Amino acid sequence: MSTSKITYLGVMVTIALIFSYIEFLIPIKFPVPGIKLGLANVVILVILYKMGWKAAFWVSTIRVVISGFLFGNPMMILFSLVGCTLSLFSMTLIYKKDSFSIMGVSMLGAVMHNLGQVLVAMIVMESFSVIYYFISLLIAALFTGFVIGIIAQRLLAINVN
Amino acid sequence: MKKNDIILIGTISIIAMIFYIFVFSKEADIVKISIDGIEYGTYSLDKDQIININNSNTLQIIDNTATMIEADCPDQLCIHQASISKNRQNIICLPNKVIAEVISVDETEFDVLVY
Repeated sequence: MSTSKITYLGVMVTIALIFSYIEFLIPIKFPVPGIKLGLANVVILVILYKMGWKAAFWVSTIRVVISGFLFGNPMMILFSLVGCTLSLFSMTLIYKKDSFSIMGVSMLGAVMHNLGQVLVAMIVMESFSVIYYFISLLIAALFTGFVIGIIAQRLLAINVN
Repeated sequence: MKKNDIILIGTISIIAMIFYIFVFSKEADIVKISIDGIEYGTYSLDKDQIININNSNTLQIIDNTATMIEADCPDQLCIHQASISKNRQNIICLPNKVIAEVISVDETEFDVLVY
């Protein structure tokens, strides 16, 4: 990995962390608890499109671990890690084929992020009932995924470097 | 937006809608509380009551609606969860591993009906 790439990814992790911090400071209230816009995923999406899944994987993993220690707890890190890995995996599978727009990719990523977290919750709680909570998160995931997708699309269109 | 995006939105919306129409639409009759996957107790939603769950959480039932009013965990997320009254809605307290789930009786299995 070249020095410029390391620097670039370091800056990206920082930006993602700032987004996490903003969301931590100003939680946007939704009718169902546990829903977040997931602003940091804008960064992950942009990196996925610009630099591929490996770079996106490192940024999202490091982001989750650091933001977990800063704003959350070890349990939260476990939830987020499974969620973001499943989300990135699903987005990697479909983003190159050009059959989905970035909004579609982002929406699938959001749904999979929720699914990953619910799966961990099912294991931790030893209960299947948590899956009903996932269903009520589905529509919200479509909405937040769409918004994040639009923001990422605008950012990619600017193309700074 | 491409065709596959629309298909994705459609599929997920339909899955959610099926659950909303066939599962979440019924009014719940009982609340089932489990800790760490083990059933703690089942209570009727018809009777207004305050349930102490293992000295860690307190669930309040008023007008067929259950609300978590107290928890000894630091994050207090379950307190901020909405009240539940529709079939299969639940309140989850992750730190204490407590789940309170409201269920419509005509959907439950017989082993629950014993209570």
